[in-house]
Amino acid sequence: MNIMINGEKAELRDTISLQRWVEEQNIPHTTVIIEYNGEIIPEERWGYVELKQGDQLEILKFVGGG
Amino acid sequence: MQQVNCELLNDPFEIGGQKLRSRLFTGTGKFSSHELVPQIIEASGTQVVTMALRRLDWRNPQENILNYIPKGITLLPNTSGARTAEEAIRIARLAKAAGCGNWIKIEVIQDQRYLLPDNPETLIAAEQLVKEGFVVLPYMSPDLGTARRLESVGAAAVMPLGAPIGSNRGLQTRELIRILIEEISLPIIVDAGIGRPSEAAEALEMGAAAVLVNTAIATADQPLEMAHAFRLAVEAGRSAYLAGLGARRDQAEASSPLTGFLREE
Repeated sequence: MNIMINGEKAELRDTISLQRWVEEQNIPHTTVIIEYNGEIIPEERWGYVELKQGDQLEILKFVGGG
Repeated sequence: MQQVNCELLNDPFEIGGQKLRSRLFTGTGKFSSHELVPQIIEASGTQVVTMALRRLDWRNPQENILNYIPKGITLLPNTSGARTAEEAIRIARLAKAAGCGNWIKIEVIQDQRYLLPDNPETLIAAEQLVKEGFVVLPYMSPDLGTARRLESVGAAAVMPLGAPIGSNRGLQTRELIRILIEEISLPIIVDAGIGRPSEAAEALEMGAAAVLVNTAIATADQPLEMAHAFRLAVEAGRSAYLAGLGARRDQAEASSPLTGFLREE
């Protein structure tokens, strides 16, 4: 199935929770903010979100800026 | 001998209920490495630093800038990248959700050549974010009408530009900033364009509450030494403002007595 991650198409093999997907990608937990279909999902709810066809994820982090 | 009044030289100011001793805010962009950031913070004596929110390269996650900012420093995420009030509001909410506190520097820009802020959109975003409980610091073009409206909707400060972002051109908008300082009771924080410590000192001498500096430090040959130079300049400028500058004159007025000359008249 296909989902959109940060504006790019990405393919997932199976249904997977957001929590699990983040772990598999080795994304450091404490430093990212995730928006799922336009809604900010706090980390404690990542385990309850099942990724499905057509979902849109925005994964953000802080960078240097003025 | 009369002592220098240290109370006069060490006057905190308040934003969003927080007392700040340092009047130098620093940005974290353009540094050659993240490791420099905590050193810059120390050398500059800053208590407030800015950062930006961007998409993560999730296939290759890099370290987060927040890991390099010491505890006790107030985080001031910006909404850079926002072209409308709506986008700025979205970024602000994301930053807050990330646990960055509730301070936000609103930055709404459509013009890509000069990166000048869009005042009407900035005002819309400010009004909404104040309602949502943010401590709102809007980056703005120094316009009195906009500053008054920002004050009336509850902004915590206004941040007029001195010159375009990253230009190091100094206080090109000096006269308009002077008017804001005179007419607006909020702290005026000169943001963008300050390229030299002397320009930061001048902003403080004029009565600006603080300055925000990034490019001038980050692009100096020796960023740490430049951060320290800005610290001294900001302290000097504030001290001069509190001491009260002498009057300017068009013609000379002798500093030495005009009597008792050693010459024949």
